[in-house]
Amino acid sequence: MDRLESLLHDLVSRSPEIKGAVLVTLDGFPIAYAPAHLTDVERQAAVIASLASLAARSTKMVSMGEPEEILITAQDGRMFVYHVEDIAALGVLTVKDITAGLILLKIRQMLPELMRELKDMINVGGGGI
Amino acid sequence: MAEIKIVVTGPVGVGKTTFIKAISQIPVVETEERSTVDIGKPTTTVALDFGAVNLGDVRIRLFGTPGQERFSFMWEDLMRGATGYVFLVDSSDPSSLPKAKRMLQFYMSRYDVPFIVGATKQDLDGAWPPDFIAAYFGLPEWAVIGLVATDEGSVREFLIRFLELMKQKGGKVWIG
Ligand SMILES: Nc1nc2c(ncn2[C@@H]2O[C@H](COP(=O)(O)OP(=O)(O)OP(=O)(O)O)[C@@H](O)[C@H]2O)c(=O)[nH]1
Ligand SMILES: [Mg+2]
Repeated sequence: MDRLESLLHDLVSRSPEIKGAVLVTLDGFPIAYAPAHLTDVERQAAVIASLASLAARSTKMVSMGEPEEILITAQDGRMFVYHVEDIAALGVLTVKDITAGLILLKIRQMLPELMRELKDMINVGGGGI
Repeated sequence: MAEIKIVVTGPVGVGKTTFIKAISQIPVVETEERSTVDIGKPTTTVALDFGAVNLGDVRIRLFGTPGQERFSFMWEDLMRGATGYVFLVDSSDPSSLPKAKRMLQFYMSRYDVPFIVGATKQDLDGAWPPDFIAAYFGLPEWAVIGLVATDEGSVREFLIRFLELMKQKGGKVWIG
């Protein structure tokens, strides 16, 4: 497991209300995800990238600036999407009965580390993302 | 004024976003993101393009799709309620045509609405003429029109021709 994956793994395993997390490039490729048995990751990555892009278009169009968090409440759960600066987007799937603030807090705690790992990956890989 | 929805689709890099930006009379809604893999250009559409143009007494709302297959879920969503679609192919890159043909066949089998194939990049050396592409796709010659997607006049002429064809053929079977 690489370090990005273990960060996501920690997030998911420490929070029973979080069902899965997928980190994607803004052009729709998966970078890392957890748990290991999460299904359909490739297609999820593309959809998360589309959502992130449309959200940014929507808020900029009405002069609200960059979106900080996208929340979709569905019948059987919630989906959060966060921009990781202008490098990636993070999709988080949760149970329905959860407070957005709590998730945001957990994500915010993890973001600096996630950013560091991402930037390392870009520097070491010389591309890739 | 009549209002119609036209979807602009086709494989990656054929000029869908370029086409809509050339002709739209309103600021285009774009969803371009930097590509992390080499696709021959720096950015790619990840959700949609949107623009609009008045041609004669028709207002055309143009919805551009992403070209890359991982975004194909958007094809389906964007085709909802479309009067017709424009299928663009890159005339300057014959190696892209087999894949384009498969994608067009997918559209033709799925959507029973008028369409026209636009053979873009006619300004580039070695571009295949539209009738070659029609033959390769097994389409009548009238169904493939050459254009330069960076040029407003060329895109305008192309869309006017598509409107004329729709009018001429009325409710008749589109191809065949
Ligand atoms: N010379 C020439 N260049 C063109 C023409 N049409 C498009 N291009 C160029 O080809 C590239 C196509 O870019 P896009 O318009 O982003 O292509 P797209 O079909 O939207 O691609 P995706 O959204 O990534 O699927 C751009 O660099 C355009 O400037 C044309 O008719 N002639
Ligand atoms: Mg595009």
